[in-house]
Amino acid sequence: RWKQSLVKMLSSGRSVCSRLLSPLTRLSLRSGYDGRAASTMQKGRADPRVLDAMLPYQVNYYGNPHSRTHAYGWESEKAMETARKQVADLIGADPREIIFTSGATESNNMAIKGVARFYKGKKSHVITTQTEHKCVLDSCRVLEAEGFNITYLPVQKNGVLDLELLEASIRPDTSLVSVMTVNNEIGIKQPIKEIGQICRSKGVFLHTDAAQAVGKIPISVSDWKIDLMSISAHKIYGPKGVGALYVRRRPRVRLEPLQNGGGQERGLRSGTVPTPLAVGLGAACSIAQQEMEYDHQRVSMLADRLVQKLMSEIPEVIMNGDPEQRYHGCINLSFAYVEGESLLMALKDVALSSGSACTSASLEPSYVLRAIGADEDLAHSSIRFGIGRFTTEEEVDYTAEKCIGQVRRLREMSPLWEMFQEGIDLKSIKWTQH
Amino acid sequence: MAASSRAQVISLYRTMLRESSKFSSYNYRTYAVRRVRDAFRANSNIEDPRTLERLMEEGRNTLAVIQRQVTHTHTHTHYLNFKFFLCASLCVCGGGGGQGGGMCAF
Ligand SMILES: Cc1ncc(COP(=O)(O)O)c(C=O)c1O
Repeated sequence: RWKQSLVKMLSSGRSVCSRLLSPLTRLSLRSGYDGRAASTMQKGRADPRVLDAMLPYQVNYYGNPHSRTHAYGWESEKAMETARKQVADLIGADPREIIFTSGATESNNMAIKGVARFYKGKKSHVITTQTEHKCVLDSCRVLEAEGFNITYLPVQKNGVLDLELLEASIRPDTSLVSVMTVNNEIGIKQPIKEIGQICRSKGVFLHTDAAQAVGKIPISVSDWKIDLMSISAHKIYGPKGVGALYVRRRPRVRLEPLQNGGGQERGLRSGTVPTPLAVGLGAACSIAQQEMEYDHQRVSMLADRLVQKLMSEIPEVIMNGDPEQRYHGCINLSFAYVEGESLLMALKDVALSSGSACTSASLEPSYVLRAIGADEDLAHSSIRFGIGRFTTEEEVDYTAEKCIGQVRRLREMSPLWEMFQEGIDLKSIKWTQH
Repeated sequence: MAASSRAQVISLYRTMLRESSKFSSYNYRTYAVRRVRDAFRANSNIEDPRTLERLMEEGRNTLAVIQRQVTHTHTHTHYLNFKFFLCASLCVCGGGGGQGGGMCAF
């Protein structure tokens, strides 16, 4: 009898399991591939075309790109210069204006600290915004400790910087303005072209962290009057650990290097450039340029599909950040009366990788959401959806379906949701602490 | 378009679709199949022989990339110590950023 009940348990267990499995898993299983691997979606996917470009340098050519006498060295230097041109072409720059770095973090550090320190004799003020990436904000904190004045401008409720406020904040001793192009948390686009105009007219350098924008929206450093720009390869389906800093030559931007040594990269970034990684960045840029229109249409279509499905099925969903002025691949939604983390947990269980870097949700509501004036409660209920080149309709539909189910389930358990439905104004309640 | 070149286009198209469907990664596979299909569709009205020849050349190069990567993403993953072969294509993160916010690839 115990055998019978065990068999029963197992078989019912199996049916529960198969209900929990995503259509992706089932789809993959049907196609004869290990479904577990397919459903374990790891982060940081590079494009196979990028990998293909990198492989020969990974395997065959061991040359140091800076040792000019060595035959292999010459080969890899050529590859590196091709890559430099591919990066430059994507943003309308001259190859001599591209400095290879280890990523956008280094580029941001280099640009902000480098410019401020170089011009510190005459100028000691830097302007940035409250919604920048942590590495920009932390670089500014370091400068503050060194005696610089930093203005952290607030943004409007839609996440966009007020241009009049920016203009009014520029002082005679301002050396640099740093504003990101596309925000990594809420996807909004800052009006960089207009900001560039203001900065140029006031004789102030403009740096932009374009890690989330390059290769996804058209950018021209000359049209937009950008003086320095940070780029990251892994945001455009390239390898991790490589990026670039665009540094304008005319009018010339000077900066104090962070790293000193062999004088590579025009003396701005000493250290041997890793050829395979630079080649990967170049290939990623070239592919992004070629695929930008196609990717853009696809990502917008999928983003619309996801938002439509969620908003038509669940009430009280709020999109964080301006609904129009945005890059559609990054969507940040707040599900009122649902705790973001519980929702994330419930979703991750079935659909999402446990190994992904973005699983470490913080208990603190994000400073970006706080800066756009999101209610503390709504900031706690926010979830970010990233859609990219390799996202499929099935994944979007599946995620939407799961999300809808989980939000309903979590709300059913929430006394706040019940009160809201009964028409009680939660804001009027005075919570007491015991 | 001449009948002979039409046959060549169709043959290349079929081969590219067949090879694309060999990617073991679900996301690479669906992308490659869709991208090939859309590219051929977008260029289906091209008549100019020179443009056609250029597109065929591009297609053959892409086919070679697909064939190499189908093999590589399958067998050499660990050997080459690449950590980024399987795709996470739809990433969902806690919007409440902090550490999580900064680290997300999107
Ligand atoms: C806007 C932004 N800036 C900077 C970075 C850091 O880039 P990297 O990982 O290349 O250092 C990221 C992402 O991680 C980002 O989204």
